[in-house]
Amino acid sequence: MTSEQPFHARVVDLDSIADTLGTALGRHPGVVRLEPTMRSVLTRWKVASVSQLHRNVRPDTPPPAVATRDGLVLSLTDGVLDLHVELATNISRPALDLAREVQEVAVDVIRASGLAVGHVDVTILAIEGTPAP
Amino acid sequence: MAMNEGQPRLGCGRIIDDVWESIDRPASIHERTCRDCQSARAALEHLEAVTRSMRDRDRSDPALRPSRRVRAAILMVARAEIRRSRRVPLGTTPRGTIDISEQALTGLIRFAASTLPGVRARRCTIAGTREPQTSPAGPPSTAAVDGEDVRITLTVALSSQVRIPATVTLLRERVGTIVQAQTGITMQQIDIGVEDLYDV
Repeated sequence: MTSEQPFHARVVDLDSIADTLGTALGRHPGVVRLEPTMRSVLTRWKVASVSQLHRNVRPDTPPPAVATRDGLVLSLTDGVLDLHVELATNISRPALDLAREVQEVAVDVIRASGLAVGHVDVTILAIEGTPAP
Repeated sequence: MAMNEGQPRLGCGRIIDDVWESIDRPASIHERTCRDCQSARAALEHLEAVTRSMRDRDRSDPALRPSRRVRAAILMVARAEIRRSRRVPLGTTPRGTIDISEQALTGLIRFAASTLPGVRARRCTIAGTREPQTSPAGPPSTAAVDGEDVRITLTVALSSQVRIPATVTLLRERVGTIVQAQTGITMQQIDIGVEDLYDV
């Protein structure tokens, strides 16, 4: 027996998108690393705590749609994914051009996951190859 | 209200969550006269007392405190965050914003200075040309620097073998060129102070 009720596509394992983004951006030429910040660290703990609470209290409803990795904060609202990237770049590549490329790589990954792309904001936290301050 | 359609209601029509939200405040005029709300409040006050005591117990439970390793990790990230200081916006693309930390920018400026023979970079500060100059000992501003209005102040030590005016002119050009190439920022003002001469 088939149902006449249409299925609504529902992603999303946000964690797997975060992993894919972390790998794709970390391998991009000129990206030295994705940098952990207080924001990403504390968001990760907050998400982990809320998810655990959610699993215990409301196991039947979808968990909050936020995921973080070092240097990445993803938040999903109504099928639109917003992303903040914080990274260190290599001085061999112009940092501004590299940040634009990172935005495009992130957009490709998000689109490939079937989600709509919201804002992809990039912060350059370090340019390496420079002497330590 | 559509979001609350599936939730059970008290006899007076209110949702129990609404009562819970104000449980730490005195009863409202409605709650003082409504028997349903009074009964719900009495039950919820007991629940609130229990959760408060559990919260208090958790606060003093050594097993729930972060380990030394976790605390060290938090402090390490926090210190790095402070060192990175303010953000300088570099632009907005159709995808979103791009900005750079002040620490990354000052590191880049020092690198640019170090590419000139006979120059050793020392302190570097970044401000807008419209910002008041702050003393190094003063509290740092937390406001973002306008990327189209950047002024830097760089102090250097020079080799006693170089001609100071020519080297400073070259240094100003070099810093401006490298920062522009890396970040797109065209600096409005580059102040250079020669603090010291060193023998080669």
